[in-house]
Amino acid sequence: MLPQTKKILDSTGLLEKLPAESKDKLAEKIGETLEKKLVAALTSNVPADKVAEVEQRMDQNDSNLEQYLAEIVPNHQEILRQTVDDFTQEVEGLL
Amino acid sequence: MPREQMPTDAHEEEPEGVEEGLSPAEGQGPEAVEVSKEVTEALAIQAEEADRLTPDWAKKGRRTELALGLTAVMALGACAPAMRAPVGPDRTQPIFAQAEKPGRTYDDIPGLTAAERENMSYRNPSERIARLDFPKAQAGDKDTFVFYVTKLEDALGDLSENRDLSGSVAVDALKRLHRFNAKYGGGKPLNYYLDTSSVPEKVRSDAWTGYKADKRAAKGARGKKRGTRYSRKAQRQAASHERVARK
Repeated sequence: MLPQTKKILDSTGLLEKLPAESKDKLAEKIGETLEKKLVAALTSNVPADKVAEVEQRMDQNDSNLEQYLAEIVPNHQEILRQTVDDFTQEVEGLL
Repeated sequence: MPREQMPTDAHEEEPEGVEEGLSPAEGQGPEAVEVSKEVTEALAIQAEEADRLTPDWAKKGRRTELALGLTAVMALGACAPAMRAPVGPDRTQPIFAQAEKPGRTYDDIPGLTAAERENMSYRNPSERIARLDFPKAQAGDKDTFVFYVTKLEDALGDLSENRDLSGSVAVDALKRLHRFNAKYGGGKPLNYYLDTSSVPEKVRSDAWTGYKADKRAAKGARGKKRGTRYSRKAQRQAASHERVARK
């Protein structure tokens, strides 16, 4: 799990609700799943004609990738935020 | 199993000082393990689903995944403290009424994410139902709820025309709708919102039975909270419900 993901999970309050015994393992799995969901939400909304450009920028380790994705994916902040929100709600329902 | 070993009697052996109403986070032992198992399984399913939705070009290995994941979380990181605020003002607008206006398409409806628009546009009704992801409706936002119910109804109608309504897709869709209705339906039964007369009786009853069984199983899997004393009758009923759910 990326440290940034941990920060996001902290802000949702989800980690505090995990069973103490398996908190670390579960937090790791939750973080990994959230990352997968964010990647899916982001990449499935990249317009087909921009994919080659995104790939190229990734290969070149473009530090402005985030900015570029924000430009080409409409409502990209809202998509990501909604993904976290839905995911949090789903996991909370299981606890 | 001897009576003294039955889990239903576990509360009699609890240590002193255990207070009623402790949260699962404070719990130890079998209940916590059960919760962890359930969450792990659910996460595995969600991860699979995310993999399915991720385009092939974005699956070029862990490095790509990390780059994209990092990009996503960095974008979110800036607004993390505000993340629990209600999502977008458009969500509270009566989008169903707007969708009904002549000359409008889904693209014109404010408040839908690009992913939701995409979900709506699937031509294959089975796929449309399978991917239909009900958004979190705001409390009392009946228009949003009705809008999604209508979309599901359309898809069910298409399935009916294709004589493909007896499959598990329709049952699963109705089950999901029951869950959605339980959360956002304001206590009204599902048929208050949705005309299911075109759905075969078998599908309707399978969906309802499945929904109830899932609910009981989830409740059973959560187990009792430490310190909660259930009556013998309630314990017997819970065990019976679990057996039914397993069938």
